[in-house]
Order: sequence, then structure tokens, then C-alpha cells
Amino acid sequence: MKQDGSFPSSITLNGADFFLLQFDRIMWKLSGQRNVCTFAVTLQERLEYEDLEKHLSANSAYQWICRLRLQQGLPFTLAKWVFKASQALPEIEQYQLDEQGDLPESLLKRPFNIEQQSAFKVSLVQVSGAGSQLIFSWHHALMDAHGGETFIRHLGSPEAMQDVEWLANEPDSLLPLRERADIALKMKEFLCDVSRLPFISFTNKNKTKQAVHYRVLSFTQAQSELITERARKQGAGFLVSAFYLAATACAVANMQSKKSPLEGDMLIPIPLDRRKRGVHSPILGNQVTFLFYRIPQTALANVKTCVAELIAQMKSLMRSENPSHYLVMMDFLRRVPGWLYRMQLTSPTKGQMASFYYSDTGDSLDLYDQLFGCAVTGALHYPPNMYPPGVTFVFSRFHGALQLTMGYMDSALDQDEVEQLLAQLQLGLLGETNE
Amino acid sequence: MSVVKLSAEEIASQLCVFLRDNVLAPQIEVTSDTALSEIGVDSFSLMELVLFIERQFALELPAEALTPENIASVGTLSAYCVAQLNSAAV
Repeated sequence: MKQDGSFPSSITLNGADFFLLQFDRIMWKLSGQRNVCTFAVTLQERLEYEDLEKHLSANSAYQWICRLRLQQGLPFTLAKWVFKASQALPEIEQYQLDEQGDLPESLLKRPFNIEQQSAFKVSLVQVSGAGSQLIFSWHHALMDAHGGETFIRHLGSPEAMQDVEWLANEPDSLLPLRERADIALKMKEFLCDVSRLPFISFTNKNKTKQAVHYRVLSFTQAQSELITERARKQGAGFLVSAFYLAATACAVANMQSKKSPLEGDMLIPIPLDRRKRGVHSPILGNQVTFLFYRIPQTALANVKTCVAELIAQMKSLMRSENPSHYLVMMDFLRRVPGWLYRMQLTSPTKGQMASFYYSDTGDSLDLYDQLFGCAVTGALHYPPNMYPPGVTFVFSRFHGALQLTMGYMDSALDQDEVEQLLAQLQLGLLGETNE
Repeated sequence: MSVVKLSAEEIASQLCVFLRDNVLAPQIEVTSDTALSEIGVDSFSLMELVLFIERQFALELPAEALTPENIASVGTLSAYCVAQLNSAAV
């Protein structure tokens, strides 16, 4: 469906949406946090509240998306986003900061009751003597990071983004039910094997209702080029992301080993964008599947060994069509009642879920030059810090400069450990020779 | 079939078909000279291409051997494949 003013009255959640909705429920129960994506865009100039409001209220897609509400029917029926025409648009909150710096905590912890309220919200932060910051938040069950980026570019410049697709086309044909069931069953067996205990994890379930914190590491363009060069020297070739992940995994292993002897391997699920390349559509619905890496302890001794291990596993998983099989499984499980789905998600690892979460959004932020007529000087994702385990790393590049956002919860890391981990990670990325 | 005798053009043609059918959106054009980075071919889709080459031409391409120059376009990648196939045949 293209943007022509005729938006559907309901959208069925796809398998990945429903999977991320179950994560939200698990997070809410255990940590009091929602599975929410936050994206901050820094503008060179000041954007006035009234101008922003005028732009948004004139945008039919914004009006439609903000009036979608989650509707979960009886067990075994599919969850949907339903358009509620009578619902009010969410308030655009405005904040005033004395100087550019950390975002107000309340912005990063906005309540999301998606049955009753909008799953997409916008806030405007005015920085004294400087430009503005726009903070976009949305529930992860609505769309993924790339969908959010495209939607926000559309909000900021609808005339330049006419040909976006809002929804994925229904597949021409599904595999026969029996075949899908077989794939789902085999995938389940694979997951039980790949996530067997023990594995290294930050998960600590002693605390509830935890606070989530963020730290950002920003690299200059020159440093980013050095990092890419180092990735090649460490054997990553064109898979620079494998190098980021290896550096992260080794830094985590190093830090964890100082707390206690490492037990087991490392389990890291990685989201993969399954959109066709060359376009940024569809916007709504999570267009992701996952790769599950299990890194043996022996490969965590140094970044080069870890890169080789990751590439070998990536090839092997892709050869066996593991990512597309996981997609079939997620789609298959959409009809399973939430409580049963959550039990299936948590039981193989006794609730530990993963060592940590990681994603790399690539170079898509390069498309951010202008928004609402203002020059963009920065764009950054704050990850939905899924708990357990409560530590998430997101790598992205903005106009050639690498940036890392780390989300962590109180139970996972204390302040000293955060500093240690980031120092170690920086060293892993840049190498010892970077002075 | 003698894989070694495939020309760079023949390999390029098959790689373009694979990209059109499996990786790219329908409206995206790809030819032997198209810069892959400009049509959104990222590292994951390159890995799909590498695995296709492995299946189709029985040629394993280690990630570290694929320099930015080799993967700039289908044409450069095909030329690299031919060179590798020829050296393997010697």
C-alpha cells in the first residue's frame, strides 16, 4: 500500500511483531520497562513547537499511525493494530535544556500503554542558545529501527518521500502447513541446542523495577576509518559488523571474567533486516529475522579469533537457511497464546535469554541531512534495552562517523563496570596503537 | 560443465540475476558496472552473494579476501571470481 490517503483500518501483527510484543510483556513483568525504540535527531537550527505541530497535524500518515491501538483477541486469533478514529493525537511534549547533553530520563522512559494510547510519540527538546532535538519513541511491536527512520524522514519531508510502502505485501504463497510445522519444530530443536545452559550472561533477576541507563561512544570520521581498517586486518573483510560484534563480545568476556571465572559460551542473537535492498520500505511491521551465534569461550580470547568464529557461524547458519526458518517459526507461533509463547521463549534458558543484545543499523543514517526544513547534525538510536539480560549495544554510523549506544540496567552493571567495559571496547575497536 | 571456462561476463550475468531475484527490490536496476554500495547491497546481502558463488561455481571466497575493490560492482567481483577459478585450475 502506498501513501495515497487510504490507510487500512487494521493491520495484523507479523511474526516478528508478535515476538517483540512477548518480549515487551516479559520485560514489563520483570523490570517495569517497555520494549520501546527511541531515536534522537539533532537539528542545527531551532524548530519552533508550533511549526512542528503544524507539520505533524498536516500529515495523514502520522494521524493514522498515532490512532492505531493494539487489539488482542481470543487465544489462537491474531493480534492486530486497529485504527480508532475518535482517539486524540498524543501530546507533543516540549523540554528545555540548558546545554546539549544527556536526554532527560523521563524522555527515555515514557509510558507506552499501546492498547489505550498511541504507539508512536514525538518530543521536542530546545537547547538554550543552540538548535533543537527531536525525540521519536515507538513501541517495538509497531516497527523496527529502519522502519522508524523511514517514517520519520517521511514526517520531515513528505513530498520527498512519496513512494514509500507502508505495509509488507502478503506473500504469494505460504509453504504447506505441515512443512511450516516441520520447520518450526526443527528450529525449536536448534534453539534449545544453541541456548543450552550455561552461557555467559548479564542476567540478574534479583532486582525488579529497574532503572535503565544509556551511554554513548562517538568516534570521529578519522577514528571510524581506522576502525574499518582494523576490521580488515582482523580478518573481517567486508563484514565490518562482525568485527564490532567480536570486539564487543571480547570486551564483555574480559569484564565478566574479572567478576568470576567464565562459565560456558556466549549466546548472542542478531537481528537481520530482511527488506529487499535499494528501498527502505515497508515501514510498518518488524522486517527482521535473527541469527543466533554461540561463541565458544576459546574464541573470546582475542578479537581476531572471535571474528573468524563469527564469520564461520554466519556462513553455516545462512547455508542451512536458519534465518528464514526462524521467520517461519515466528510466523507459526503468532496464534499461540501469549503466556504459552512467553514460556517457550524463557524456558530453554531458564529466563536468561542471551548474553547480551547487539545490532548494527549500518549506514542508513546517512540519509538524514534535513528534517522539517532544518539541517541535521546528529542522529542516534537508543536501543530498546531488552530485559533479561538488560544490556544492549547498538552500532550505527552517521555520515561516516561510528557511534555506539549502550543501554544497561542497574542489575547488570555498576558504574565502574560500565567504565571498564567501554574502555575495553574502545580498545578492542581502535586497537592498542591508537594514540 | 567446466566451471573454469566461464567468462567474467557469464558470471556477472548470473550474479545480476541472483541479485534481482533474491536481494534487490523490483524497481532497482543492476548491471555489471553498478556500484553495489549505491543500490543498498550491504554486508549481509554480500554474504548471500558469496554463498551463491560458492554453490553455483564451487568457489569459496573468504571474507578477508574480498577487498573494497573486489566487491565494488558485480563486474569487479566476477573478475575476481574468474581469477580465483583460473588459479585453482592451474
